[in-house]
Amino acid sequence: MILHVTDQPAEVDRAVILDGLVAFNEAATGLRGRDRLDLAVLLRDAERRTIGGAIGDSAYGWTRIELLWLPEALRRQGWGRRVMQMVEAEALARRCIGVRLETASFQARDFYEKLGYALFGTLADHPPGHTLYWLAKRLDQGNA
Amino acid sequence: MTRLVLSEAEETPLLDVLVEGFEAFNAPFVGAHGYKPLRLMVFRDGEEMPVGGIQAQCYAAWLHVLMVYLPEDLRRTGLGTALFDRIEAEAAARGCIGVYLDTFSFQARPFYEKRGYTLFGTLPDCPPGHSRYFMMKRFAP
Repeated sequence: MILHVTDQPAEVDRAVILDGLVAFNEAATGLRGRDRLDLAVLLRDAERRTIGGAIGDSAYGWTRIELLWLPEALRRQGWGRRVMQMVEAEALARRCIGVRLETASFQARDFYEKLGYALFGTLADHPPGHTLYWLAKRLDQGNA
Repeated sequence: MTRLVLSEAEETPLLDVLVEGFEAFNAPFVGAHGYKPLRLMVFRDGEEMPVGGIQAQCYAAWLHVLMVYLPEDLRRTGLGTALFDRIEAEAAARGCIGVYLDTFSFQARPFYEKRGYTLFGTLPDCPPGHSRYFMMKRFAP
């Protein structure tokens, strides 16, 4: 064991301490200690260039997907499902009880429903002539 | 009359003109559907920093209210109503057909209902033990 003093802690150094403290606080209080954390599941090619994926965050016990996009050539091959599985795995790791998202009527409602997402809100004419849907999936057992 | 000026400078007044021009050209096609931030800030007299307000955006012909906050001493003074009167009017003037937002069960649902907002979605346990209400109002045509 050594003690290291630095004026330039790396992000990983900070993460170790933050993770530990948050875990301690959560155990002590039973409350979620860390609110609002960005989340990205990125699909990268062989050159490690990001070519698609999901962007969102977690807060208040829920993970929200803000954007999800895959290039045309990669659709209908299971990549979307894999991205969503990783989002849900990360949501669970963050102790979220569910994942929520919005999708437009010209986008991917069927896809999400096949993955177990349920409609809980509808806004017609967003934009005019289309509809915006709100979907959510509980990850805890009480699939309320 | 026009004249041509060639420049090798990185920064010229051209960029702003182009952006404005593109937006003006595109406007009849995209109308109010494009993304446009809209914020309404509250300042105390003589102060430089806002103390509260509404953070919102226009997109897809809807005003989406993201965050609303007023310090304790400015609540129940009619200021919240004045803020929403103003931002809804501004959104309508920008071609929006309505407004939507979400509010927690421990926040301001009755306030929005009084303003004519209706519930279009509920997410229970968000956060756990509370609910998140999704509310909307269409502007009068």
